[in-house]
Amino acid sequence: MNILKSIAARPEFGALVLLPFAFVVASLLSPFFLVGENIANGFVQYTELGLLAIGLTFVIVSGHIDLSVASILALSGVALGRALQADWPVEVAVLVSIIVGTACGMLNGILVVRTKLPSLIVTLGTFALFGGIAQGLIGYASIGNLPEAFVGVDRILFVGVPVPILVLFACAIGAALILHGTVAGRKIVLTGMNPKAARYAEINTARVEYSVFVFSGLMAGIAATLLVSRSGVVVYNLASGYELTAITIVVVGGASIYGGKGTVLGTMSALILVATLQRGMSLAGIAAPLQLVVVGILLVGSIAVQTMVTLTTVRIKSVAPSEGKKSDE
Amino acid sequence: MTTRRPSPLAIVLASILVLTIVLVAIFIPTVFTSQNLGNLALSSSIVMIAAAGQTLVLMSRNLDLSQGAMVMLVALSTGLVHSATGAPIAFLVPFAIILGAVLGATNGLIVAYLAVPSIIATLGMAGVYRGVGFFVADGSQVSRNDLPSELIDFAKAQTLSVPLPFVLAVVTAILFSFLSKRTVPGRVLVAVGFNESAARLRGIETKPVVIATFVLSGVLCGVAALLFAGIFGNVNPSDANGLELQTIAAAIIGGTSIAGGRGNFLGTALGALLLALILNVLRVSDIDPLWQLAIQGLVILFAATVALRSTSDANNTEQRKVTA
Repeated sequence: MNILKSIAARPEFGALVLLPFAFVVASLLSPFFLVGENIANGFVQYTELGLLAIGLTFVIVSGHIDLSVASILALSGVALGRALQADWPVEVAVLVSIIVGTACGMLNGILVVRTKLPSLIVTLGTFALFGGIAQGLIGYASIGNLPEAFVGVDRILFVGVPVPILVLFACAIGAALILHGTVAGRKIVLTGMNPKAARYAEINTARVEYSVFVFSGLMAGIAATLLVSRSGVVVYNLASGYELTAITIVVVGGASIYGGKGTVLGTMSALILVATLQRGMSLAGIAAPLQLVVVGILLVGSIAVQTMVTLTTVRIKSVAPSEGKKSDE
Repeated sequence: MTTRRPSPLAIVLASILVLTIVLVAIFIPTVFTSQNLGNLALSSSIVMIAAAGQTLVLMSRNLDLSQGAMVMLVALSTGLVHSATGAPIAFLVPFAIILGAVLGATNGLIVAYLAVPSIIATLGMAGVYRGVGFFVADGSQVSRNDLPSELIDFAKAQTLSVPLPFVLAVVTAILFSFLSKRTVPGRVLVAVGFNESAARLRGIETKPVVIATFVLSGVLCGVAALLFAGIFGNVNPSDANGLELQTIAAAIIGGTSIAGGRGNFLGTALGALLLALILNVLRVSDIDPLWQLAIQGLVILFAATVALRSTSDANNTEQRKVTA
């Protein structure tokens, strides 16, 4: 019984339980869902979202939030497009994209640590700043005609799997090892759980906070490379609105928005869950607006269930129910 | 917990605003044509009214990310109801306000009774409201002919050459400033925002307070939606996207603390005015409008930092104690 209970208490439990249902529903909605080609083609579109969600998992587990991820992706993509337009070698251009993403993350980290403003406010500002710079750099025009050598990474197969999916899984495994298997990962979790206690335990929480934002920026930079290569075009509002879906995925994956809890496995399960639902609905011809409603309800519903479960267990353990409010913001 | 009155911040904010106005007057005098000032006042009034709601929600230590979607959905529904039934303005105004209240109450119930963190609840509900908006619009949009002429006229109306919507926004700010300082419900809200469990120990029912702030945010969004429809003359399901970011920015610039318990409605109004002024200066001056968003971001970061520095933040001093 105890083993069952501890499994049910795992953050990724909810998403993993819902996943088979989503698969069944999706294949009932459309007979085409389970066609192998559809699965591969469909899921390639979610790799960038997955990378953003992995970066966000670190940020959210550390007790912060990053609203600027999609703007970082857009700015990195614009830098990449400009570099390719200037006939820079593909390798250098990709490096530019990743460096721009990381630099944006560094700026977020510095601002959060130095100004002591809530990360919600800081990344709200940089959301506008980075997105605005991307807009200012290329305007309403789009950059097309990218070099052949760069475009179409999703059509390259390695052992039968599109390269972006491999990149996503490599990043996920790397991130999981860091978050769940290293001292650095424990420091992130502890900082998110209780920053004051973490500081008393000689953890340099400022450095931890700075690092998670840099990591989130790096993931956005990699995502930008994949997205531009896949779509073959750069526009200023590349990936706009991705930050909300990415946050949804991380939270549905069991991470606590108050920090201190969350796993990469949970995020990946939730990514597949959301992708399955959206693909199933698209194939069944359900209009995008209704999908928006379904994802919204999924977000609120899954958290409501999670919080209910936690609150009941807490109530059983102690008389006074504690509501997970963060006092150190 | 000793709290200083937020007067130093008000002085800082007012002087930034005055300084900006003086600099603008010297370098870009075209801003001060009466027509442009009218535009400025109009464009700030929508944000000002919704931002009063955001300030209430922030005071209860929550966040309302669904404001843009609520404004859009109420404006859209009002236009659709009018074009379908020809309902008079006497019906449409209460309709908009009640619809806003219902949307806000939904948010509040989810936050208070399902214990979903407000940032998640309102993020999810924003998606739901926007999805419903796309659904009811069904590919079309609400245009000028679908809107009651009274709304359009109200947006154009002026008293002593000040646009009426702006007057309404200023009155709203003053009203809520008074209510939060001088009435029992206002003080209860401050108490709940400062320390929810302490308030509960004092016998305050905290859940109704939280729900009330969300309902009021919805109501104010309903009012803002009427202005939105009147001022812009058409409504799309993708409209008012990101309005919530502007209202949060206005509140933070105005010295409202995201940690709850401290709200400054007049500061919020000044913050909304400052944001609108900067955007307006950019529009009037020769700066490429494409850079507007980036400059807005810089303003938010700068102003929030100044606001934090000039209010003695209890948590902040506590943090310094730890590192010292």
